[in-house]
Amino acid sequence: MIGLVDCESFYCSCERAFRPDLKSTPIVVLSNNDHWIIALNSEAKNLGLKRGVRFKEALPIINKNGVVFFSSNYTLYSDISWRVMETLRDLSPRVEVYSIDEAFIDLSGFRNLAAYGENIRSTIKKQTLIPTTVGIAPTKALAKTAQRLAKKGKGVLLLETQKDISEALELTPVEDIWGIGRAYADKLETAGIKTAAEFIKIPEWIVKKEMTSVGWRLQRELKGIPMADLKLEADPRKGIISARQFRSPVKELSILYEAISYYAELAVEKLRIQKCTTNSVAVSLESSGSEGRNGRNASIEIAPTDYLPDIISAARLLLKKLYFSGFEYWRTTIFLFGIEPVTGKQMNFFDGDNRKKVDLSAKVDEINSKLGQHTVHPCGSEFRDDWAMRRAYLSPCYTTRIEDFPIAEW
Amino acid sequence: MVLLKYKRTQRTTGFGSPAEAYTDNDIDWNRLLLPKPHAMYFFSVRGSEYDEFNINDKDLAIVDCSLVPEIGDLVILAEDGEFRIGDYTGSEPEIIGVVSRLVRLLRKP
Repeated sequence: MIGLVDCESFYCSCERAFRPDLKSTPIVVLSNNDHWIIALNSEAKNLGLKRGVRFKEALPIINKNGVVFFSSNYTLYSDISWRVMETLRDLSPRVEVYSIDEAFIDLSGFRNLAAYGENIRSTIKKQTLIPTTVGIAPTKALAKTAQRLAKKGKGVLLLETQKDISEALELTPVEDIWGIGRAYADKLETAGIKTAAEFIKIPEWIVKKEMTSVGWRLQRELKGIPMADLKLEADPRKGIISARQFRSPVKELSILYEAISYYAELAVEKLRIQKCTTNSVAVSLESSGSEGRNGRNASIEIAPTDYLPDIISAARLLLKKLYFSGFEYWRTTIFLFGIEPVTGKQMNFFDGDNRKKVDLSAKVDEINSKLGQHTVHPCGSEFRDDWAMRRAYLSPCYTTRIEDFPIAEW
Repeated sequence: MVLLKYKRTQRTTGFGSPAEAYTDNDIDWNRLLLPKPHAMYFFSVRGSEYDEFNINDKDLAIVDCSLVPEIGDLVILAEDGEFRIGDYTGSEPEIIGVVSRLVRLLRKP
């Protein structure tokens, strides 16, 4: 069985975690430079506010209803995301981080799954202060379906029997099927297919013909047949995450550099497919020893970019900060935040030419390894100081800056 | 979270030290202060006088949210929209976590 754990309104929940005075307050989080709303909690949604609305235009509703607004604090979000994922790793031997605020966990062999789902939820709430919903089912697509329904219900939903699954599919409109996309949802609705239950009844050959093999895989997963190669892209607007566990422990910084460069490349590939830039990079590094696992993370802000060498040099800088010699490392993760569409102003010499880009960074690495760090580094990288985001409503970095630690009164 | 990096200073004598292979024995303060970093947080204490726990104004409380509070523990709790630090009596509605370590700066910066 597979579990999907999803953080509720993640950015807003992070903002609320250290503000006990905002318990049932509507909250919105603003994009880079405070331009538009990028995240909102259910209380804010209930007021008619929506993602993508310009902050200025939303101000009348915000002021009238006492909505609390924040500039995006990626340092805080990456630290909390890391905490959520680490907590999940305490709870399951296999965790597949799917996005900044969602992960699949392997629950095969676990008993009493409904109770375990509750346990996952309460442990994450206790240790990270973030509310989650949990769906548990035989496949990933069904686990996501269960989690969607759990959101409206008790927070945890287990689909164990064929009857549970059929009922869940009846309750899922085609547009809510995970990864189906607007275009296919419209097509299905036009053909009179309204629910996931109806979708799985379509003969496979028709699905394959009309919706390619992606649709076919999805259909099989909804029927309860796990598809190992199921590929579904997470919504990149929230952030991109790329992590791998090493096959054997790594001790040398140079190998970690190589690893993080590779994961950065994967993350930037996603970024470029979406034609977006990032302005905040975080890295986490996990060691293990006789006293158990131990993880650390750090983040940095950079000028908005989709340029791989910039992102790699930021990631390496962070890695260097996190690394100490003498430890065995098992995993490193890169997070990209502050994802926004590429603007006209963006300089992009290597756009659409991946090969050249990779060649260049390889050359840079080669020169640096021969002649020393930072002999050559991409210009306009994180060392540029003429760039600053306007973030008038930034919250404190409660968990990572000494000056910003929350206050407890005696 | 990166808390501390403690490393013994390496002498540059021009010769490789025979002790180099044993540098793994360096004290890792992270493990002492933050044994479970993903479940631990810092709070800055504000208060006036000494109290029975011997806590001072501006002490740093290291809070372990993975622990289950027991009567007599020092805990962080949320009350009336604020965080408070106090002893656990079992009747507090919202406990954030157990204060498992305390950092005191004897000379304030």
